[in-house]
Amino acid sequence: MICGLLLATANLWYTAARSLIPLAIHARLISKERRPEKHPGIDDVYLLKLAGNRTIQVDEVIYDFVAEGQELKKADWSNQLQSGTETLRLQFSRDFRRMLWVMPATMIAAVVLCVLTMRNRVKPDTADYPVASG
Amino acid sequence: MLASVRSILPTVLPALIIGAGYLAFLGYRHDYLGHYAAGFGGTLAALAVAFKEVPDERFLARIPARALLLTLACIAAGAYAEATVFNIAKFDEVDFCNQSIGAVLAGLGFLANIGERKPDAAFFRIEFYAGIVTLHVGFYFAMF
Repeated sequence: MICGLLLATANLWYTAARSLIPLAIHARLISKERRPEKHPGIDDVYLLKLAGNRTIQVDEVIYDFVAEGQELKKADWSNQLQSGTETLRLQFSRDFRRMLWVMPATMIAAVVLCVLTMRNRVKPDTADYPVASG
Repeated sequence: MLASVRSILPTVLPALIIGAGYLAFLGYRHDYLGHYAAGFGGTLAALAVAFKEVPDERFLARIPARALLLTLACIAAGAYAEATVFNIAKFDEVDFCNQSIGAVLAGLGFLANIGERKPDAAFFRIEFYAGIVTLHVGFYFAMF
């Protein structure tokens, strides 16, 4: 159950992190790369390689906004990303907003199944208990 | 047959509801649903095969720890597959989380079905078929 809760939380974190909103960034953009996945145009991966050998995956709108060679600046949990002299107002992606519905449901399912399992396993054998008399 | 199908409802019903949630809210990314379903199906089939032959008298004592270990092994196998065969653009953490959530729900659902004695052979057979069908559905949604 704990594993399920951690995975659902991780799912929310990774989709939120791709919007850059939770992250702090202060580095020059070395290069950016778009890699096609199994369904080109739908699940493409957008990677930014930053100075300091740090690579981050971002949402498409951020990939389109930033330019190679520019300094990227943002504070953690800020929705303002500065690239050179331009500023982009960041938003959580559709993936993250939709996962906010699905992941809590998976957490509830994990808890319910865990309770069902415990209830099945901890059934007292009433025959072992003395019968109260008087 | 119908009784066996009914007996696995605690395993498949929560998973189906969550799968419907994936489809309703994240249907435009059907690969998420695919990874979730494949993780669930693969783990459920593995659990059904692994525990069918465990002797009745040792079944209840052994199953919780072994089901946990097998579920973790399935999660690890999923991570390996994501890092190798399905590593097309990069190791996708979200795909890994989705397939692992499926595996966890399969493990918990399997355990939730076990009562005070070992289920009959039909139970394991139906769980195995349900797992294989879900694995194939997941593969379809993830790849096509």
